[in-house]
Order: sequence, then C-alpha cells, then structure tokens
Amino acid sequence: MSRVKPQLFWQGRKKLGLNAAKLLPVCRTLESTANELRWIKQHVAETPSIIPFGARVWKLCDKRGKGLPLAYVLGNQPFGDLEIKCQPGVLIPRTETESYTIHLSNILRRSAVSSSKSDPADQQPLNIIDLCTGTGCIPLLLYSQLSRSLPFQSLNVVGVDISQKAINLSRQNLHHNLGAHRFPAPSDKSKSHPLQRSLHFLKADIFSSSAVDPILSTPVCSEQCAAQEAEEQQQQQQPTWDLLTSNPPYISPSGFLVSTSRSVRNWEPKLALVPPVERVDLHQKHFYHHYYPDDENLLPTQKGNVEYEEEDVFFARLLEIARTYRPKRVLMEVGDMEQAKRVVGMVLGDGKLRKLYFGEGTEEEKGGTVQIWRDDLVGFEGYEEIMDIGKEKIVVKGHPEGHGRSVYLRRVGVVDA
Amino acid sequence: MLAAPWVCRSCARSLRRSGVFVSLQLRKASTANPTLAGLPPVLIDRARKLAAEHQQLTKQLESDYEPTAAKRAGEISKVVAALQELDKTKAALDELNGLLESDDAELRQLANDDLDATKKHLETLGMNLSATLTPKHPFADMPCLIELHPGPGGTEGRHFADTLFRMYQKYCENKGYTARVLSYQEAEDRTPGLDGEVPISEAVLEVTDPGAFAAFRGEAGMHRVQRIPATEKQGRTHTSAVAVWVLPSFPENSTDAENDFNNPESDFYVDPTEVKSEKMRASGAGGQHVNKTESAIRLTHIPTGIQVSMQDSRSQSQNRERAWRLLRSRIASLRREQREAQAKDLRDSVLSQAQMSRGDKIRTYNYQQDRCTDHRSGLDVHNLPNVLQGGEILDKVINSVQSWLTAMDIRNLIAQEEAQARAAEGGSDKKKKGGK
Repeated sequence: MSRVKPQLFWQGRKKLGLNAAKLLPVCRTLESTANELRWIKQHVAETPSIIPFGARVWKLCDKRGKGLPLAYVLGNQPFGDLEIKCQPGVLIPRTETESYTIHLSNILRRSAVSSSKSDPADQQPLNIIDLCTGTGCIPLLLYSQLSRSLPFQSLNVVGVDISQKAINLSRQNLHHNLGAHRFPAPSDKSKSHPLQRSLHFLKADIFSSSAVDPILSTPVCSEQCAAQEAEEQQQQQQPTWDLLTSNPPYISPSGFLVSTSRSVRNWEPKLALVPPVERVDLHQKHFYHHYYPDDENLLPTQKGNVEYEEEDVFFARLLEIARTYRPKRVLMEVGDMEQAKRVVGMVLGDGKLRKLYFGEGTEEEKGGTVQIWRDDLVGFEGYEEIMDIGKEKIVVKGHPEGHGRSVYLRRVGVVDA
Repeated sequence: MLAAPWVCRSCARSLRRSGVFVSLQLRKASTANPTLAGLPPVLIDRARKLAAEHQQLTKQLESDYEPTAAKRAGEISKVVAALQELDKTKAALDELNGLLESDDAELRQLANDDLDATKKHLETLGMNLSATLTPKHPFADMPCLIELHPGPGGTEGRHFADTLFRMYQKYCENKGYTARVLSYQEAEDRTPGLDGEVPISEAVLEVTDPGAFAAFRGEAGMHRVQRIPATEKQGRTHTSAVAVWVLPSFPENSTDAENDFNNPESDFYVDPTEVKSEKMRASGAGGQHVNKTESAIRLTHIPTGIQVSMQDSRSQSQNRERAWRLLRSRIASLRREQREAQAKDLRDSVLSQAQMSRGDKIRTYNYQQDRCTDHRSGLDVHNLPNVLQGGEILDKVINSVQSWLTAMDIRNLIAQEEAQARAAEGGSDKKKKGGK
C-alpha cells in the first residue's frame, strides 16, 4: 500500500476541514474522504442527541480514522432498500452479496409469476433457508422483495447462524426494518390469512446434524424424512426448500493474512471469514466418507479430479446438506473464480449431486443448471461465457471484468423463467 | 436616457449624428416573439384536408368497421369540431359585416356592438384550432429529470446553480409536484455564497408526477445570472450561467409498451452490452476480503459516449439504479433530438433560430435591477425574490414560456406543411415536364 501524499492532507484540510485529516489515512483519496465525511455528517444530523454536532462528527471521524469500518462507526449499512444494523462481531453485508441477492429474488419472482400464469390454481408455497446468515441481510432482503403481492401460497424464510450475537442482531434488524415499514409483518400463525408469511432466525451449528436437522427438515414432513429408502419417491410430492443460500466463511488462513484489507482483518469477526482449523480436521474425514465411502484411506490430493482446499470445508458441508435435503435451488457465495471452480468440481465429482443438479445424458436431456455468477450481474444479465471445468462446460454469467462470486445450482426439472 | 452615467456633450452629439446611439439604445429582450393574429392559410388547408378525410372515414366506417380507421377518425374529430365552430363564427362575422352596411341605424349600432366580441371569439377559436392541430410531444406525459450544471466561470455559477436548484424544489412544493433529489454534489471548494448558497458541481432533481416533462420542458437551456457575487470585493457585477437540462424520465410503474425500457423499439431502451461499467474495483478478491465504502458507479454508453456517474448514496445498488435511470433518460432525449433534427431539415431555414438547443441563453436573472427576463417569450418581470422562491411570479414566467412553445410548435408545423407542399408541387412539376 503506497503512502498517502502529505499534500493531500493539507489540500483536504483546506477543502473539507480538519476532519478530513482524520479520515484520509483510511480513505486514501480526497473524493472518498469527501463522501465519507458527508455520510458521517448526514448520520449525525439524522440522529438527535444533546452532544453538539461538531463534537459528534469529530468523534466519529476519529473512530473511522483508526480503521474501524464505516458500517460499524455509523451502526448500519444500506442493503437493497433495507437498512441493516451492524455491530462489531458480525460481518458487514457486502455489495456483492446485495447484487446477487437482488438477482436471485428477481429469478424467484419471475418464475413464480410465470408458473401461476400458466396455471392460476397452482400456487406453490415458497420456502427459503439461509445458512451462516450473520446480520440476516440475505433472508431480510429476499423476504422484503418477495413478500409484496406475489402468487405464493405462503412464504417461509429462515436464517441460521452459529453466533448468538449474529442471531440477536438479525432479530433486531427484523424489528428495525419492520418499524420503518420497509416490508409487511410476518403473519400470525393462529389467524387464517390469505398469504402466510414467516421469517425466523435460529441459532444452530450447521456441522452438528442433531442441531441443524430439525430446522432443515421442517418444510419436509418429518416422519417421511426418517425413512431413508422411502425418501426418494415421496420427496417428489413433498414440499422442499425452494432456495438454499449461504455466505459461509471462505477465506483460507494464509489468505486472511495476505489478501484481506486491514479494516477487515482488524475489526471484523474471524469466525465469519475463516473456517476454523478444528472444523477442517473434523470435517475432512466426514467429507471423504461421503464422497468416497469405499476408499477412506486416500489423501485429499489423490482423490482423482476433485480438488479440495481447507477453506472449502463449508461448501463440502453445504453440498452434503443439499444432497440430503435436495433444495430446488442452491446459491453459495465464493471467494474467487478458483474457489468457484473447485465447488463446481465437487458437485460434478459426486454422483448423486451430479444427477440432481447437473443431469445426465446429452445436452438436451440435461435439465439441471450449474452456473458461476460473477460480480455485476444486475444490468448485465446478457453476458455469458462458457468455461471448461473437468470435462463439462459450465456457464459463467455476469460482466466479464467481475470476480467469480457465487455458484448457483438448480435441480433437474425446476424451471427458471 | 443614456446607458453610461455621464457623457460629455461633444461625444453625445457625435454619437447622435453617427446613429450609433440609436442602436445602442435598443435592447433586445427577446430573440423571437411570434404573434398569431390571423390563421395562416396553410393551417386552414390542413384542417380542411383533415375534415375531408374525416368525412370519408366516417362513410367508410358506416359500411364496415375497422379499428385503425376508427382510431384515426377519433384523433382528427377534435380538429374537425374546432373547424366547424370556426366556420360558424366566420359566417356570423360575415353576416354582421353585411348588417353594418344596412340603412337602419339601430341595426348598425347592434352589429357594431357584437362585432368586437365575435372577432375576439374568432381569434380564440383560431388558437384552439391550431392547438388541436399541433402534435403532442411524445414525452409530454412523462415524469422528468431536471439536471443543473454550472457553466464555466468558477464559484459564482456553482453558487447560482444551488439557488436554481432550490428554486425548482420550492416551485415543485408550491405546485404540489413530488420532487426527489437524485444527486446533489457539492463542489470541492466550499466558500459560502449569498444567502447560504453552497457551490455545487452537479445536481439532479426528479419530478415524479406524470406530465412533469410537459410542464418543465421550457426550462431547458442556459440560465444567466447578473449580480455582484459574495466573493467579489470591489462591487463589480458578474455574469455567469447555469445549464439546465430537462430529460424525460421513465415512470417507475408503467405498463406503457411504447416507453417500456425493455422494449427495443422504445427510446429508453439501452442495450446492456453497449454499456461499460466502471466502478472502483478494489485490488484483490473482493467479497469478504474487503469492506470498501466506495459505492460510486460510472456508466459509459459506448456508441454515444454519454457518461453518467453516481456516488451520492452509500448503497451501490441504489447508485446503480439511479445511474441507469439517468443514462436511459439522457439517451432517450438524445434520440428524440436527433429525430427532431431530421425533421428540421424539412422545414424552412428561417425557423432555425427557434430550434432550442442546450447552448442558447434562455433567461436572465438580474439581481441589481430585481428583474427576471425570459428571452423567448420576451416576458420581463420584477420581484426577483419571489421568482427564486418558486412563487407565483415564476409560475407566470413558466406559463409564458409554455404558450411560446405552443406557438412555436404551430409555426414549425406550418413550416413543415409548406415544405412538404412545396416538395410535392416540385415533384408534380417534374413529372409534368417528364411527360412532355
């Protein structure tokens, strides 16, 4: 990181006042300093207090100047049309997440509208689950986008996180945005309502089957789920999760030291960024048991064409969940194109997942979709590119300059409009 | 009444003799001031043609119904009604004129009394007819974006841009329009101006009411200010300018297929593959690795080179949405202008000065003389504070521009008809010659 030129400091001081000198070491350019200073002033002007305006601005600039992320300084971050509260200890929602969440809600809305057009009586319930939800930004935005006047029988959204802090914050966020009337309130279960809406945040460790299974099996009738053999046929009729989303920790321990920015490294929770080491060790056995049950002694590097790095452990677990509960669509945020390729490799390398989400036979017969989405998807839906991963051709969507951001799976037989 | 405070006698005499004085005295407040006393024959011709067409259409519709013909008949029925009314009044006027020549003194008196009223009525009817004949602006029913860009010339123009911005905001408030600030960018140096003005580098106001474009389209152009700036130490008057662009905006919830931005036929359609999006791409991987606050979006439309940047909001998606909206509006208005320029080629060259482009100075706000002058309608009003507060005086100015625009549209239409008629005549002449 290059040094900030001293002349910028006195230019900033002359043009923007003393506060600019505080912000410059963090913001690095005058333009960005002017923006942040404006947002801080706006925030102070909007929240009443007995402390004088100038003193509060000064204090917030001081905090920001020490590297604290702006979202923690101001206590919130805009996300779509929502305002998400942020606290130290919970990951700040990113714009990339916002971008694909909006795209995803558009897909869900369009396919619901087109399916209800073809058959008005056939209104499906919509069940969405978000694992590693953090501030609850993804479920809240999906709920807000989908809860208004839609052809769903019911809308059921669940967010799951391991951290109590995150669950508390996500519930706060629900009430905060409800208070501001940004979306309709979840409907009361006891009253009969034309459109049943629910939004819950639950604490659970997604690696512990005993904790997460009751949550995951809710939309599926529990007694059928118990019988593994009967599952195959009966799940055809049973309601399932329509969408499984997740923004899990995906940075490798070495990447955390090298590629993260300073304010992320120093202030944001490592729990939300880097998969814990003990988790990796524990899960590696677990993972290979699932993927290669007959060949347990093989080392990761010898496993044929399935590549696997330690930071991918959450994806392995998520795919395992997808194997069992067969959600109609899965979206996982990934760190870069390399990781996206590895995740796609995991899907294709597993027979059952491949059958579920990629399909078999010739091009025309395959009904499923495995896609990689880049940043900058909204407004650039037209961009498409074919990438070879293993022996298969995978569609990559989004503006070609964007980083690989997420992996999208759609089950065979499910149609996106 | 000399422009200079004092001129010595000999100079004054020489000035008077040379005639320079007279030309100096003439101040041209307006560049064009059309009057519409009598109706030009072309317009009447056109109305007659339309009436004939209407008659034919109704006859055709009686025998068998056809939706396109019915639509056309509905469109021109207004013109036909206005024409009929006009004919009736004209007949009445003729009768009155005949009565004036009668021998009965009492009758003559009566006819004289009626004559003025009938003449006036005829005039309004003429206006009415021409108004029904003028084509409606295709974006007239749309909401609009008002963009303010200070002209070159330092802080003074930027200060005045802020004043204009507030003027339009208050005007919208007074008129009951809903206005939303889309972008408000303060300039880097922030010397305060008169009455707490903040220098701005660009501002965009969105008026979301349908029909706002028609109400504000006369505001587009250079607005000139003459005053002593707050930064001026020696009391000299400065002249600076602010460019105001009025763009049609795409309504948020619209089912109008013609103006749907997903419809490639529409003016608002922008092919996403032709747009380059530049935003701060942080080095490294993005996502969880960084928590950048940079939310600026810059869109460039490659074929036209139109560039839009937005950085007001902390939310990138909001900035992106606003940037796309602005880009669509600019492109739509550019396409419209291009089409108008093509139509202009058909018209008489005399009228070219009436074509309003962004570069023309349209209005002057003079603080020293407490005066606001519109150079198109030629209206001169005082009580500048009321104008800048968006009060009824500004309303008066805007209305005068509206009627000027209508008059201009009619003149353009007539010119176009004439040009077409001439072209047709020329064509038939040639044919005749060819036949011989």
